[in-house]
Amino acid sequence: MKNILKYTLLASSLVLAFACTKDFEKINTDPDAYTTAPTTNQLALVLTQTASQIADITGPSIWSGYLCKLSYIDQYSDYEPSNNTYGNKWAAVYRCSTQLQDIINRTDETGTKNMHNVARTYRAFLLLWNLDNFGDMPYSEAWKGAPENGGILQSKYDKQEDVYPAVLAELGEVADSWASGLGSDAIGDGDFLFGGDAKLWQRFCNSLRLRYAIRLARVWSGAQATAESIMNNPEKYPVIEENSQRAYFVWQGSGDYFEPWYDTYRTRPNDWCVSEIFVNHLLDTNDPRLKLYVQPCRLDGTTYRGGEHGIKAQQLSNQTRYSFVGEAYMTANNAGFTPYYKACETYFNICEAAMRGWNTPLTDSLAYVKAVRLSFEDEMNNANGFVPEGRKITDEDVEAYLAGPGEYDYSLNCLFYQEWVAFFKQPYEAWCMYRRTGFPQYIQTAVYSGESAQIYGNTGCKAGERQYPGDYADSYWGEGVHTDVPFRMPYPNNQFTYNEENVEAASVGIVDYVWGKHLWWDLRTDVK
Amino acid sequence: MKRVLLLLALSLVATVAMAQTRKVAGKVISAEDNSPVPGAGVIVNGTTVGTVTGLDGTFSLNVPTSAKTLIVSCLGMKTQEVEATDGITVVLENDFSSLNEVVVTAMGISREKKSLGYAVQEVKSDELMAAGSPSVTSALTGKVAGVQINTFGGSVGASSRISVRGNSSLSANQQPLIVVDGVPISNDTQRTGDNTYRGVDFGSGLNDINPEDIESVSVLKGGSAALYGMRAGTGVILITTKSGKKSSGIEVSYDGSLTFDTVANLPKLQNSYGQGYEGDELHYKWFQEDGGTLSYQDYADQYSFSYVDGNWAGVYDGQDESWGPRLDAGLNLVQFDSNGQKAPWVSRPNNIRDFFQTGVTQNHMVSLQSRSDKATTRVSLSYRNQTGTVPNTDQTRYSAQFNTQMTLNRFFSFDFAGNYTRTESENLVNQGYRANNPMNNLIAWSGRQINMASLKANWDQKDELGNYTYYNWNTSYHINPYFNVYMNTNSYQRDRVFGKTSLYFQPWTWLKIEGRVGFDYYGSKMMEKTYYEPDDPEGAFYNTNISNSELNADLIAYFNQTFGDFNLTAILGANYRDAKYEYNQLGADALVLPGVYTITNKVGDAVTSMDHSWIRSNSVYGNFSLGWKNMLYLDASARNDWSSTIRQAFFYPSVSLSWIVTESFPALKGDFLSFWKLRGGIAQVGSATSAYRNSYYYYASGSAFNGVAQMYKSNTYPNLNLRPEKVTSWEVGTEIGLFDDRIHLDVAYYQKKTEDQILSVTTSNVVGFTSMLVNAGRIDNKGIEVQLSADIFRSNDGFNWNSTLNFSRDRSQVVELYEGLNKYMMGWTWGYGTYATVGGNWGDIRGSGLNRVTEKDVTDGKATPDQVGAIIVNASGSIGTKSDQVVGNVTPDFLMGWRNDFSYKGLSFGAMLDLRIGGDIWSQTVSHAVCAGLATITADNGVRERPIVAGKDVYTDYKFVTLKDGKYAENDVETNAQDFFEWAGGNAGEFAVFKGSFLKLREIYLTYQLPKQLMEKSKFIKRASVSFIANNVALLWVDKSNHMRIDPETGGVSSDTRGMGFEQASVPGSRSFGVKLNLTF
Repeated sequence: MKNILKYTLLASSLVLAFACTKDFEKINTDPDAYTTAPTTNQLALVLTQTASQIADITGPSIWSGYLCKLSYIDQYSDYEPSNNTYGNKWAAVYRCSTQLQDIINRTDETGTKNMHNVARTYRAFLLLWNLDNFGDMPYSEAWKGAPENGGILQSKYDKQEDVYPAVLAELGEVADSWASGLGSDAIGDGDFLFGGDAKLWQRFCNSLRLRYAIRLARVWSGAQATAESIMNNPEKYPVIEENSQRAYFVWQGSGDYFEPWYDTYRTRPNDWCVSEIFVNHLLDTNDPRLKLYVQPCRLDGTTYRGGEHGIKAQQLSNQTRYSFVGEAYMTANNAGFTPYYKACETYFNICEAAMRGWNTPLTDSLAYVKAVRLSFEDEMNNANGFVPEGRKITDEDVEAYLAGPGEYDYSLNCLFYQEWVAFFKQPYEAWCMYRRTGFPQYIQTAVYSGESAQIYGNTGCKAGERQYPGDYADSYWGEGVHTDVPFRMPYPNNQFTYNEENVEAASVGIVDYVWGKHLWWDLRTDVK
Repeated sequence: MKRVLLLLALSLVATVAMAQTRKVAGKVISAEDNSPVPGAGVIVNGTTVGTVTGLDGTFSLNVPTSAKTLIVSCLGMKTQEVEATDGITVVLENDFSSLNEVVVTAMGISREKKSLGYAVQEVKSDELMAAGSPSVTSALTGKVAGVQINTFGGSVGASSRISVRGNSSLSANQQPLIVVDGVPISNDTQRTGDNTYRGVDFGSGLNDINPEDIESVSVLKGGSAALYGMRAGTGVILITTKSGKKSSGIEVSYDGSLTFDTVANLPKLQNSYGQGYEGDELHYKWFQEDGGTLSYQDYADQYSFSYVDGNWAGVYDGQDESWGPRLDAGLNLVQFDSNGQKAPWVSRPNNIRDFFQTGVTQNHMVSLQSRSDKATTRVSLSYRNQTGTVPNTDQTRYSAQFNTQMTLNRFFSFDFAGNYTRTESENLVNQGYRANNPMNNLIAWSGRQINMASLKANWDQKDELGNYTYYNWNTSYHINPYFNVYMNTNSYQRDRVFGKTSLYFQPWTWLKIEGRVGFDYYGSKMMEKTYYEPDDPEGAFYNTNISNSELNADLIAYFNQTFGDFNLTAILGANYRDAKYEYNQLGADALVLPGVYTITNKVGDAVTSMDHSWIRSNSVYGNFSLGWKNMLYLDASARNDWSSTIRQAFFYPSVSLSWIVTESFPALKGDFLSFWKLRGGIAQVGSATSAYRNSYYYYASGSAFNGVAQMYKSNTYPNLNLRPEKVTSWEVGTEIGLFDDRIHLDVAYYQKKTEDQILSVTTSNVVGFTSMLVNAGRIDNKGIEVQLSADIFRSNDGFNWNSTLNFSRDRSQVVELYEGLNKYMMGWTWGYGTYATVGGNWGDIRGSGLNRVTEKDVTDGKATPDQVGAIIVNASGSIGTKSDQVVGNVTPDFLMGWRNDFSYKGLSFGAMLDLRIGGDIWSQTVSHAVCAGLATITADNGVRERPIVAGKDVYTDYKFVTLKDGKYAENDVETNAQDFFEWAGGNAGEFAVFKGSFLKLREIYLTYQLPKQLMEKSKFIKRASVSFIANNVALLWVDKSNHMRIDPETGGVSSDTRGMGFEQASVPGSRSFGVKLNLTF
């Protein structure tokens, strides 16, 4: 009897256990997740996540001479970067490239050619941005997945010399694919950059190739041929040539998606002002765009005064003396924009190519004038609606400027300063241009040397006291050991934690996180 | 058909058995005063036939004719074996020894403690509640060796984290399983937000239990938990609720308490300098040296601080730091509350304290207990209301408990236990690093001179249009703290129901079968409202609903049989578990009309979120325990689990042995040694995973962009063959009773190996996913636990002094993680993370460290060996930093709780001290209060009046060196306090790490039990007592590295493992004093 009972119990327990495991697969399926996702929705995520990083106000907006910090300047977080400051930008590139690879894997060049090419174009855009920011990066061994699938957890860093051409080669493949005809598939409503217009993506693809052919002109053997094939084959390789074709990311303006400069102003209105480097240049050159880009200071409502980098805190006690960024670009435009490629850039690039003696469809002076007009047209369109009557720009202002201070004088000086002004709110391009060309020269020469500097004048600092942020590379009080804004962004902490050996190898020659080693195309020798 | 026949046969046998009996009646009295002993158990030896004595101590029992002796027992008295003769009087003596203690073990089985081969510690209700602890977690703190409880801050209803035997897992949640009356219940922490910038702590699930309803708490630390299989990996806490067993007849009791909470342990702040910049004597001196001719008054006014709009239009009036002019020096400056006029610039040392108020807590409970031959029942109704030390914060708890056991006949009995709790708050304080956490602009960033009375009087000031002016001392970053607590509120409502019922069928005395269904449900509603704060200028609200339910059904058979010298008890059971969780959130990041919190008032998209979890598991388990001659006990258990979250089944065995040496060798026993036990055991348990982790998914992000859903392929690489974590542990221990067990020592030594950890391994993010789920890693822990109890004085009717000490120490070593991975981050904030590092201890704090002298400097001839570790000051006075350095470890060196209880007749007194040594903390409060010139060290010893040298004038406990002629020498580089501390607080985070050691006077009680004689006169009160109680009485000592005296137990980042070792603008703890009253009718 005892045994019968025992066995009955045991058996019933086991039956109970096994009988109920058959539903386990169903139970363990996440009802809040999907087994697949439409590619356009995946593209949507990639575009907004990377836009948040590209539009972030910190870093290059200072290094390119446009903005200046008013609060928390004591911490110098932007001038003296440490490892983690820009890690999110790096992470977004790699994470979103994984998503784009998934789109690429799930599309092909037949039925879904447009989406396939869009994903490849945007991935190339991100990789090039990452190269500009960080230099050498994991590429050939990256994105390979789990170890059991052949993935490599500690990926080696590839040299920029190898990655730039490889990415541009892929862009070339996409350009040729679209040159043989656009696809028939819809990119869908997740395309926040070009509203689903494949033709615009095709222009963006070729414009990027042109941008990088110029950037790499002095270091890459394929530069001239690439640029010439694009400039002289507008049918096969169309580029962005009108403001209506520009690559602007336009923000939703609510929730998590306020335009990021606006959002910064919304919660921390006193953190940022325009840099005196930029304001003084616009004032000196009598540039009408000043009135759109910059607001008069709150103190008197009429004076345009930029913030002085590295100013003694004592002089910052009243922040109403400094000019804020123009309304359309920051303080009053919740659904503002982040430019990725302005139409004028194409003509600035043609102008530079012509000055290099490359075969161009326009002369340098014609390209210059076209570029400046496009820039004015673009910014008037962006901002005239946001400023009071006295600060609006008219067509007459444009003509007067072109005939006066903005007149082309056939110098690189003229081209690059003009390009710098046009690049406002596109600090990454300006920072690249500065590192490549040394223009605008104010940025480097602004370093206080113990004598009256070109821009600063003597603000009362004793020699060796803090003056320009670059001074602080060594330490908070140290005498300057670096004379320039960062050459690059510091490799992220994540790499030092999880890919230490390889990032250490790639860091040889880098001093104080961001100085020492120049990017491939940064050939300057007068900075340290 | 067969079964019916079986039942029929069974009942026949039983009837026959019952027929052959005789009646035995008697009385049980106490040796102390010959008074009757109600509620004593009388059992026929060798059977389960028995009864309990009535109010007058009498009993009557039908015993089998074969029965020879009766066992008479009563809690707190020595058990006696007497002849089974009718009319007997049994005299029971008081029992001071704990040798025959019975404890609740796994699956709710009561066992004699001496028979157990593993450590289990039980805390009884009087010890838990003597000092009227407000919650279960606070009642347990410091009372169990090897259990560390961290309560996160002093806000009302703050959550807690419990760890048993150190930390050995890498997952965020590694709290022990909570089992109430045999049924697992959820201890989820209700916390919203992102762990750094925003969030509200709504409390721990465990605190839904009214601590006054608890009879005892047992903590199963190691192998003792093996019967819980894949849920036992981090220990088990067993809670037994009160029943009517102890009452004599029908009793009605009232328990009430009234306590007053005042803020305690406010961080130490300076009172010498006010808001502003470069206002100190040293900067003024430099100004004069540069040719400045202004008076200090004019210098202060023109260069350091003058208020216009609190938003930078004046002189540093937007600055939220206290580097301004000297206070109490006769200066007159325009301030936020002086209407544009100059007003005396004076210190207000109590301005932070003035913000807090006295919190009041009242507790009322009415309980009814009844006991009869067939049934025992207890019903309790309680109400608790608390107002916090932070104004306008509160919590109200209503609870009801019902517990009954009924014996229907010789074969059938049942029990039922049910609990209902409603917890409500109108407002709980905001946490995190946002302007809506009032602590941020009181303690981390502030002007030390601000007048709290002005802020309180004017927080709701409106302009002529009827709009709030947001009156505050600073309008650029902060909001008036009163506006925060009255307008940016977080309300909460939680309903909790849990309970169980069991049916028992006992066909023979040696076999009992139990069918049990247990249920646990909670529904939480949280409403977080923001009217305005600088980080949410358009207002916001989030309405979150969470529900969670868990059903457990068990079928258990219990065997108990004696064969000669052997006694075998065994159980065999099966469990079915089904757990569901649901989360819904609806809200808005911006509002059209301020102060209207409904979804149609949103600007832009609504914030929406939905999440579910569903887990089912089936298990079979068994345990057998073989005892020989009351001296040797062998225990073995086994469990097999099948879980929906993991594809394979898992098996967990355990075995343990207990040997009572003094039973085997009675010669050892004497005046000195009264008891000696040796024990040892080995067990394997596990920790299963959460749902949905072994498939690949696409997800949609929480918000759409322009109305388009944003989707992504999971960034975590799933693991299709996930296994539960495996914890293998062994332990040995001994228990020694000396001097008639006046001194009782229990020592346990254990080692455990936690393998197959479920790691979300972060990759270097270039791999193609940001993390991958693996079973890998091994963390070894070893530790020692000591419980020492001494009856220093004991006497039945005289003076008694009992002293109890709990000590525990746990060391961990991370043996391996995953191939190529040697660091694993568990928590993080502000650039600092808590890590497991291969070769290191669990819980290293890593982040930016100070540049220090290394061994290499010694070999290079730059430094002497004694200089290694000294901080290097550069020639300019600065100090370099190095990223990714170990700057501390969150694990305490050891924990100790020391309790003393005294009694003399009706008067009793007790106090508990709680000591923790070690356990480092990185504090955002310290970091920013140093940067902002608030911390005492930024103004002590005249450091703002003269140039300073690090190591001589500031941070004198650290060693600083500087390079002189190629060799390091004692630092003599001069700098100034403002530059130095702004840098030290803002950039050199390592200076914000302090040792979390503390000594606390945790609780005190003084109770007076009214004399029996007095009670006998009053016809209807049986017992009455009144107590003075105090909790969290004093922070007696902290390590000197904790220069702000931050309570090391506060938190502020997260309530789970991620929050360990971090402090962030947390609400200071509160000290409570009050009275407690008990009346039994």
